[in-house]
Amino acid sequence: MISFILMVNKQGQTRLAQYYNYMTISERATLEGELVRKCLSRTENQCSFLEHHQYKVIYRRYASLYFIIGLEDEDVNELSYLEFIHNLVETLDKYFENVCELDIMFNIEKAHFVLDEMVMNGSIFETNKATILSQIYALDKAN
Amino acid sequence: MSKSATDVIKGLRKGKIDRTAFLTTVYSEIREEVKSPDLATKTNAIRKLFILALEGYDMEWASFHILEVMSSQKFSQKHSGLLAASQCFKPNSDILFLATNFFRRELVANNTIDTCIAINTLACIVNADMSKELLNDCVTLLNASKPILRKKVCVLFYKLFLQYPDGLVICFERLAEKLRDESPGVVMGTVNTIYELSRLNPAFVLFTAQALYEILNTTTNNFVLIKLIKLFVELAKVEPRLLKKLSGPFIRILTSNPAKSVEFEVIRAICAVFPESEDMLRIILQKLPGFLDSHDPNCKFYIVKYLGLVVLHKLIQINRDYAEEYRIFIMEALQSKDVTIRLRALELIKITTTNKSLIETIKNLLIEVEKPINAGIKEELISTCLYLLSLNQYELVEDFKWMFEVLLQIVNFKTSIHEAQLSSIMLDVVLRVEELREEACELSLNALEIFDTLKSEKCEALTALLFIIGEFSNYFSEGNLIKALSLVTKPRWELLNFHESVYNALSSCVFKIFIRAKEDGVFKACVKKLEENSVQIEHMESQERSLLYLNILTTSDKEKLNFVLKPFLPIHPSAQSLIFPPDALQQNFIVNDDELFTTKSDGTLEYHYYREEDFGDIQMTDQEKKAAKLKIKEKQMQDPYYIKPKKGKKKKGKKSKKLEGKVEEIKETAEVVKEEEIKKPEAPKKYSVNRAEPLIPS
Repeated sequence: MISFILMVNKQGQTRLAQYYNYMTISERATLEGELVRKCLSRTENQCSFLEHHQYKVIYRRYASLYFIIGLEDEDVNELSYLEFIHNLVETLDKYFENVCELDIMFNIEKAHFVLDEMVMNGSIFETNKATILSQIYALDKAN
Repeated sequence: MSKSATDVIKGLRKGKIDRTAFLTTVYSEIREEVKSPDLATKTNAIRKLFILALEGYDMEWASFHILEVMSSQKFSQKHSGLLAASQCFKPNSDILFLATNFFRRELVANNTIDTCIAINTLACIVNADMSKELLNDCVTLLNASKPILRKKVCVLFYKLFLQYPDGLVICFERLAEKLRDESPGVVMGTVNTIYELSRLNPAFVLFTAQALYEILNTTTNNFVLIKLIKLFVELAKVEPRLLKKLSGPFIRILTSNPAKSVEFEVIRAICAVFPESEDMLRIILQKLPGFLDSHDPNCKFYIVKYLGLVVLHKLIQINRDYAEEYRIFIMEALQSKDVTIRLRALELIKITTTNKSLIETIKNLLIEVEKPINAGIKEELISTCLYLLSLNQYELVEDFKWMFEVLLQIVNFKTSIHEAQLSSIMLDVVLRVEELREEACELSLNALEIFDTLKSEKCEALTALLFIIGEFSNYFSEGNLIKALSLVTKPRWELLNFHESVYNALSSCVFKIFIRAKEDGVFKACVKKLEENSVQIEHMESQERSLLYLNILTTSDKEKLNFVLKPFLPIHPSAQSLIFPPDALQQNFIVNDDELFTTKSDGTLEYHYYREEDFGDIQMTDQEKKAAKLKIKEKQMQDPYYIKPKKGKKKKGKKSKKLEGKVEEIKETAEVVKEEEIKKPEAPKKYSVNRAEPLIPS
């Protein structure tokens, strides 16, 4: 079960934060800061997996944005979550057409919507891009 | 003209503004705006607040306003409200009571997309009461015509069940039906929920195994496959018959699926449920180099190497023979640049070191500690060293002198976290291993020469070293004894302001050295040192001890102090029970009584130190007393556990390799005592498919 999904840029500014276990605002801010610092200190040639307190953290950098997933479980298949991050980015890319950090900043509600279509309750339940996107096109129409 | 959310973001992006000032202005604007009766303005305020939440501002005070926005008919406003709610509604807040009705309306509404976003938020914030109320509506949704709704509600069920476990019993069968739904999304959602439930109570979901098996063999979605594999591992724990059916699919997946993540999951599953199967292990071993040394362009080298190390860990736990082949590889991983891989390598080292490889391993670990690249994991490296040395009561160590040298080396690294463990290992090993004592004393003496560098917060290492040279100073030669004495009487000890325990150890040490030395010159030096200690050191306890020892030295007879020369040795924990209590000991004496004192009528307290009833009842004549004593003595003679007191009795210590002969004797008696107390392990609980069983076992 995923505990949180974050998108944090290299300056430490959070662009998107979805928590699946309740944490107070100050806890969240500390967590995000620490994680981004740890990710920044790692090079390209190192593993994308970290351990931070009780969380197993999987991250990947796309241009200026770090996509970070944290889990509290014991037996985690890290590689599958890495693939999920890639899937998420590809979905966002297809929707926003060449997605960049600004797209997420200015369309945060839509980004949240896409994420909610893929992950709920900390479980990944949809990975098919077509299905996800048909939902968000419907959302655009309703607006 | 109030700012829109986009304006806020643009404002934040402008280079030269003061972010905090800008944000505070926006925040105060929001506080005003959000009270407006117009929904559009309110929504705008909530949207801005949402962005501010990313910067660390609290949203909770606006909960009621958020609720109003959520209830709007307009979709965009509703969406903003729901999104804000999912971020900030606390699990136990009162606002959720008000929200329940709102959600109920949304769940039965005709509009698909409204229901969808409502479910999204519900998954984040639902609590026990809401869960109870909304359960029925959710079950109705399971049969909705749109697959998207069915899918979402399937995943929502897990959260509902967590909050309201009783609901599980009612609804679970309906949920399980969805496994055979035609839409793959719904199936995936249901599999997810069932997997999470199986982690809590596998027996409960066991009846779905048939349907799950079919999905295992037919699905093409890798994520579903991984979840199913994990699920089956959980189920196999309670239903061993599943294992036969699983071996086929597992092998098929392992050999045919190209995705490394799936391969990894299957390997992990096999190690968990099929640890003895030769065929499976052979296939895994074939796959292992693919992990450890991969040049797959899709998957970065280090990631796959990390996975390989995890697999290796599992394999070695099954069968230690694999450790030999991969030893060099593990050492290489230890020196890698990646911290995560180094940590994994350390874990592997903990389980693969044998007594033959111990010396080599520790040497390598200590070399690693000195490298600056390892600053982050210096502590883990030292922990691993200490772990290996003290494993199973020093099972791996063959040369204790070398071990003591290693410990002293670690003392010089000055890590404060390990000091307590380090000093306890040092003392333990010197006390138990008789042959080590002479060398340990000499080594400690050398180490203490630079005592001023060993200062730390609690100075445990220093205290341990002082204890060793004091307690076992009878092993010192004359020259060394003088050297030791001059070391502990240096005035520098007081100047450096160590922790209190150091001064306590110091005075005991001085005292013991004198007892060994038996020379007058030594006497004067000891007395002088103790006098200084009693005056110059700040700590009260240390001063008192010095005075106490001083008094003993100056006033008592030298011969009477020879009790100090008796060795201080460890004894077996069951030794106490081997001693039969003397008949004079009143076994029924109540020491701790609730009515230890009573309040008299004038308000003062009267203390009772004993109760009259406990004494004086047993009136025995001398004859009777003699007879009773004889009876007790007879009982003692017949009792197999009673050790008859011998002259010059020594207490014996625990097992050390050289003292095996003496240990056998004690072992026999000790084990007899133990057997009675060992209870049989409980038989494993048999699971029946009792649907009424609570989900979360109490």
